[in-house]
Amino acid sequence: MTDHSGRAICNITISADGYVAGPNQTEARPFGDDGGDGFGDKLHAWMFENPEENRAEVEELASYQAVIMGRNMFGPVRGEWDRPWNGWWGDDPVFHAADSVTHVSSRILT
Amino acid sequence: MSLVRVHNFAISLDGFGTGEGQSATAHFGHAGDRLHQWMFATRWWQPDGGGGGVDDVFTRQHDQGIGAEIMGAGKFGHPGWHEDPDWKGAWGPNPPFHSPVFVVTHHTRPPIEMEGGTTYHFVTDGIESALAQARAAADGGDVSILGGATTINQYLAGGLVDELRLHIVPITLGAGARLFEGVPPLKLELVRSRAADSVTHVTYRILT
Repeated sequence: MTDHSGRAICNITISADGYVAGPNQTEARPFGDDGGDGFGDKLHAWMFENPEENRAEVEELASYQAVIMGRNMFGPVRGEWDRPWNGWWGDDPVFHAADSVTHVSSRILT
Repeated sequence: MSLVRVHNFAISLDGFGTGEGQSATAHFGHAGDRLHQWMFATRWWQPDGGGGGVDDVFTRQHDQGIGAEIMGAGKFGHPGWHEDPDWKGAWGPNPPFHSPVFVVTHHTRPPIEMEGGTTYHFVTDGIESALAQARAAADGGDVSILGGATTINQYLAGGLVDELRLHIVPITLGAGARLFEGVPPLKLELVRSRAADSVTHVTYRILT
């Protein structure tokens, strides 16, 4: 079990030149011009295509008790919230912060 | 077939090969010696002393298989070095290269032979000319692109590099000459990586 002890951890995938996503992000391509399908398939292949090789790192990603994310990661809506949006991750998001909250800008979701 | 390798290039985690504010007394600008401290302690750099271990292994590989080297004008000297006819490079009287070094510059100069087998040659007609001359001088050996970041980026953008060996230092610099600046997306294969105490060594093959 991982002892978090109240630390703030940034756990993120980057390209060799330091990018988290490509330019030109849109709703159809949330990771923009990312060298793949626009959903970060190449960036995150290590996680989805080689989960056993990276078991410890994959489990750690789901182990946090509270998660902070910026709204541009949360969804494609820029500026005022002009429509309902509950994230990219469906009804059971992978963050598994089930007993606490994932905070996004001025909205709170449980 | 000989390879073109970026061999032993140190960068901050945010990708800078040197800081900003380079001058005659501050060759790496505000980075100081922070990008290279891990190397200075090795036996390779200090034949009479120094430590050993992982860092030593990588810097010894510096001397293996390389027949000739290329560097940019900014690595050869501080801004304005060409105005000093006595300037013989920033690497001391016995530079660690021990091979022909082709300096890509706008300023023509006759070759300078240094102690220890390094001779600087000055190429004023571009990176491809420097590469052709380095290949010829390497006589079958590999060509090393020493740096700095600006010159490496030109070779990367030209699709001319086979292998990229980086030493990633656990600092961020925030400014300076950034590796990959202006370079279109590359496909890389991680060939080798090794985490040492004060630096992480990674070697990538660049896939075409």
